[in-house]
Amino acid sequence: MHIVINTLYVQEIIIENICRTIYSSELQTCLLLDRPFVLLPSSTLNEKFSIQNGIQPDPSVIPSVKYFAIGNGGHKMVVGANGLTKTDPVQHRGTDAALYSHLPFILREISNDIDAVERAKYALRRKEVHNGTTYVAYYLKRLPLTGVVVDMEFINVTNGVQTVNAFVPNASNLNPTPPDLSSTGVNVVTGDYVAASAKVTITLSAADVAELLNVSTIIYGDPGYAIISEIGLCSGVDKVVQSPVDNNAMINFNEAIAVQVASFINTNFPLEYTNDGCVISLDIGSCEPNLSLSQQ
Amino acid sequence: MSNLSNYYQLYINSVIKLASTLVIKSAETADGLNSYVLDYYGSGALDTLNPHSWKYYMNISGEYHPTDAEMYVVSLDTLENIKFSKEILKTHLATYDGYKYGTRQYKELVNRYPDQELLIRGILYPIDIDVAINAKDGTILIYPTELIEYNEYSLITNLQNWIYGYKERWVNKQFGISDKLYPATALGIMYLNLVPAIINFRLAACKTNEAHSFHVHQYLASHGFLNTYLDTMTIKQALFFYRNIAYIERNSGKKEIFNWLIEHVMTERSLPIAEYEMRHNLANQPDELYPTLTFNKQPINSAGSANPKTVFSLNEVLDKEDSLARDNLEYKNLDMPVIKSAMENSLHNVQETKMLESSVIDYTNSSPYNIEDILLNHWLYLSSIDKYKAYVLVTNPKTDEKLSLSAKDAYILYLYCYCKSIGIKLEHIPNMIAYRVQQTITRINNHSTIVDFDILLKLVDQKIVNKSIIEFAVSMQPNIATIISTQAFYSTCTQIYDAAQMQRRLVSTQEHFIARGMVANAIDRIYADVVCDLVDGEMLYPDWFLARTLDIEDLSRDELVLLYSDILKQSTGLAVNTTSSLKTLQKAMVNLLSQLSSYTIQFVSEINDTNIKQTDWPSVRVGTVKGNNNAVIDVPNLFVDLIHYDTNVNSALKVDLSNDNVIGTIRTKDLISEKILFDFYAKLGHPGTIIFEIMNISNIQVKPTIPLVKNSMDVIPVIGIDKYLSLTQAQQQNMKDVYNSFISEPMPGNSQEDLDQLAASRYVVDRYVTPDYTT
Repeated sequence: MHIVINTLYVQEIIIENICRTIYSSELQTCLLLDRPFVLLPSSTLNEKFSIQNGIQPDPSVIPSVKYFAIGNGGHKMVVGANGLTKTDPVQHRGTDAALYSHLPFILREISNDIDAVERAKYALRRKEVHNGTTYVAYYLKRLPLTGVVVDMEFINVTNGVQTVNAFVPNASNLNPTPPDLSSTGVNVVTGDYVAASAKVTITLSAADVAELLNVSTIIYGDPGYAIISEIGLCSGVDKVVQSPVDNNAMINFNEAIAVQVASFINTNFPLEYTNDGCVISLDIGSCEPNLSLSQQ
Repeated sequence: MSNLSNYYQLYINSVIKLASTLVIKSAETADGLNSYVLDYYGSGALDTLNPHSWKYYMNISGEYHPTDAEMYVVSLDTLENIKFSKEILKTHLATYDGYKYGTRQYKELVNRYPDQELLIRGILYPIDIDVAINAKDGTILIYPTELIEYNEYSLITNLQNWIYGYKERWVNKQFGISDKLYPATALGIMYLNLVPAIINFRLAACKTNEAHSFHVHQYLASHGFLNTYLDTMTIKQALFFYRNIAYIERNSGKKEIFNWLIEHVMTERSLPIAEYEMRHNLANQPDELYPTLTFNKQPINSAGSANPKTVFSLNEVLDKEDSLARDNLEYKNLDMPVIKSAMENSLHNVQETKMLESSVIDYTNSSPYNIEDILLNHWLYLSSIDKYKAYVLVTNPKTDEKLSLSAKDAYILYLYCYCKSIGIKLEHIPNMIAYRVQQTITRINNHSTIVDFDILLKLVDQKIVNKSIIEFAVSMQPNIATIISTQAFYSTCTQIYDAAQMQRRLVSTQEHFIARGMVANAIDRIYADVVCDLVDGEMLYPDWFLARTLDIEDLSRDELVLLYSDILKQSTGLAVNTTSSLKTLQKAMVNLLSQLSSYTIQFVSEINDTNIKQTDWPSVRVGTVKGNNNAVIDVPNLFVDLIHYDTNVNSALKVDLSNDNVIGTIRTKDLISEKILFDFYAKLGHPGTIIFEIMNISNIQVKPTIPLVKNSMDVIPVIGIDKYLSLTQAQQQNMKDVYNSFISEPMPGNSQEDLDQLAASRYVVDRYVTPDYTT
């Protein structure tokens, strides 16, 4: 008997579900001011997983957010006063440099590794031994950024209702005039905002989910622990390195170095019940109030 | 010596002031005042059974007795004539300060009302009347707390015991029977003896943690003039050196003493200190003959350094010492090759240097909304709308004349003096813009409140910004009522400053990038930019001066600076020339460490000279997260919980009814279908989700327990068909229903086409049972 389940949800994130890190703040400041990026110890996933640890990116290259990691430590079960159990997110701190409990995307016996085409989608590859068997694990997956564009929007909120229009700068923006400050009375701001953001979609196919169920079975002996409850958007730099394969041979692998978590996102995907895959759409950007005065 | 005499005189003055202001319960005084009331106002003026009505207790609790004359003074806050009472002084804070014990105003008031000094002190330092009534005779009821130092824990207790002992030993109440003035005399002598008592208790506390600052000051002054650092030391630091300076002096040069000093001088004040270590970098060898010199900065204490750079070149290290001595810059170029050669040829590849560095960033006033801006703009705004109505007293620096100005006039004069001091002479009194001031909205009873909450909510999309965020944003905003004192104004502005700091952090904690912008805007809406009219219509400054008989035209630039600084300080309560900046502190602590260190070490320090302005750049954030799960689940039937079941079975038989014979093939599996509609608890973390599933079951087999046998037509019949076939045609046609949906209508005809049509359109039975030939 087959049951097809399709669940859609939208998280309007309030405070607790996302947490930016100090490492992304440092990276953004370096990027905007074109200052050298200094990779500090105890801040990279490379150090955590001992993969290309301490390898500095080329000074001319600034890391960018193009990977994501997943984990199953971003939730806890709580029993309410009514005796029912529910999941609650576990918040991260801005100084956290790793997920609470990382899950590799792939965990294959080293003799049964994924092929080169599939391998190119992943990073942070290393050998691991579970129950006496040697596996190869991939802890990072590349974000599908092809075709992703940054949109600028002009948002107006009047009486709590949001109206969004595309923002295209014109000659008046290049020749700005001072705001019209009334010479009498009280000048207050209105509800105008400008935002620049990019929509990035993370997709895990049915095959990806099958791999993750396999990962959970190998590590925990139970596919039920394949729960994606924390996602780390990660910055880093691609670097082709030698990586081990079967029979102590080495291959060229497009690894990620200087990998730091830029932002933590709490989710809840129990993959045992999401085995046909899942899609997570993220809107990433920045929004500022746009000075617009009215007289009170 | 004269310096010591001055300090000593100040100390003695403070002791006398403390002795004079101690309020000690005196039952004899209460009785004496009762006698006075009885004698002068008659028995009707005294209720002997009710101490609450006695003049003594009322006066020391700050209440007027019916026999007291009401005292009026000119408020130093508003220049209004106000009643001198404890209730009014709670709001007229400048007046309260101005009339404190020993001030000129206090003495003038006592001169005007010489019989009411007890009441005047009671108004200034009121005590709970019930406490006073129930207290034991001789109890210290109240004293000005500023006259007792933070660390003098037991001074009052000691004084209390001394007073009890004094009264026990020296006061003979019975003398009052014959000599009416004996109680007053005894009390006066006791107060006189309080002065040496206090001095002796403080002397006894020397070399303990309760030592008075005068003794600490004098002691440290005799040990390397460490008293010069007292202004920048905490009490803990001062007492540390007071206790240990002799030991430090005797053991200077020891490593443990140096570490001790680092801990108590630098770490105690969160000031970082680091040492420099020379290292040979061999990365370029053997291409280079000599190693490259690097200097690694290693932190000595746990305070974080402001400069994250840890590796320096020789040139960079020597640059840091340029300012330590006059000719360092010149000798650096001469000595550098020598230093370089010596270090390159060092027998050790790691060599400690004698340079220590303290690198600090001073974030004072780095906030986008600092207290100075808030004070200045709210001074302008609130005085222009008559919410800030205090009068300030400033001094003309040329004539020493005291000028009493309203807050608004003070701003007008401040503006003139400031502009003139920088070479701009204002002709007209201009309209000024007050930036980012908290709005006031007049509500009932003419009380102002903060911005209308509903307006803030309309500026945000509540799907993204929770209402509680906006509620929190305004939670610390002060309610601005009419302000009549500088202290109250400063306090209000401090609250606005604290609210602004909280609001900055609140904006930064918004994780949805749209929410961040919306919360920032809603917070901006609490404030406004207001154009302020300082005078009605246009007015020239000369006319304004004339109307107020002010003459400041001949003030020099320096005098103008003095005057506007005084106006700013008196009007806003802001201490203009504070000495507590981090730079001053760092310099003092480094000097102290350097002075107490016997090593030939060199201290360099690094700190920003000007205020740092934080830009509050927004970082890139994640906004709305949308998720889409897909699942295909193979569910074992055992786990399916059927709660609703329907069947809809189609069957068509092609039978030659007239001849009671089967013609053609009976279409079974193709024609039979069964649909099951059921609800399924999916166990996906969505309790109560009901999933509707349609399943096509192509075949259901039922095995009869009794084997079927062939009928007369030599076929194994479908169950029940025999009975049906045994009916006449008319009976068969009249049969309406077999199980649920069978409808039999008259045959349209007997042609093959009619039969096919009938078979295709009729529901015949609900279940089809496949015969089991094997059983």
